[in-house]
Amino acid sequence: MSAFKMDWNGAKVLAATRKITDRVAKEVATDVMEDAKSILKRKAKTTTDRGLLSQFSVEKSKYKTGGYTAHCQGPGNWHPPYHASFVEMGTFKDEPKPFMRPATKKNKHKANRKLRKALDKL
Amino acid sequence: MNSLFTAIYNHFSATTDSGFYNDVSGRMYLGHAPQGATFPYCVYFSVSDDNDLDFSDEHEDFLTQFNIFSQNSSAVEAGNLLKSLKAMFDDCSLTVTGWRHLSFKRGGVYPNNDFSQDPPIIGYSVEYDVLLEKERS
Repeated sequence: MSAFKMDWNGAKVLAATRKITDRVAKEVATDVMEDAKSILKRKAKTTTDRGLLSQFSVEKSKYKTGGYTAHCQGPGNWHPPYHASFVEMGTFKDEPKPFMRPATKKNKHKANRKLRKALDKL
Repeated sequence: MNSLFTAIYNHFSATTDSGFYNDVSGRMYLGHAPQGATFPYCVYFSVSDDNDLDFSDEHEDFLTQFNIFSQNSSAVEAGNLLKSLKAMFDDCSLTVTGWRHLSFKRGGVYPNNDFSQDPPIIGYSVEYDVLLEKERS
């Protein structure tokens, strides 16, 4: 009896899946960024707060898990400017005006739906 | 939202002679502290965007944050505040009017310092994820 062999084109399937998840991850990060902008626009009270509106970006993640991340004032800024984190978390002087975390939460379920829809088309 | 804040404050003020209430001398403010507030103190607020909360869902998932601030040259006071905040709120049980309280889980803890002040402000931001389910009559 000869051995049974089935080629399921694993490499091709995985490559196609990766392409889709990458595209959806970028779309979701962009949605988070846009929602964060509109929340900040509503909450911003000072010129400095409003100045953050032009400092949003979507970057390819440097982490092993991949994907994209939405940023305000650039990725990995452990040096000044810190203003975005002051607005998000609040300080002893300033009232907190969270904008990134609410935007992320808002897109959590939407991201799952988007990914499922995109993979269904595969 | 108000019923959750009331429940958090009631839990905070349930024990006044020891623990976190005693450590901040009862100074826990909603949203922001009054100008010139005496240190140490705590500010708690909802991180969730109010526009997304309509309370029509059976379940609500809130992100709540506590900011604790101490003005002290030593980091010990802030560290003790963090410890007593955790002891009071980690996996605590709340009584929220109209809702069944499911969980109060601690998320991230971030430093929130201002070393430009003299003595410096040493603080922490602590996130809690709160899960509520509508109470059935």
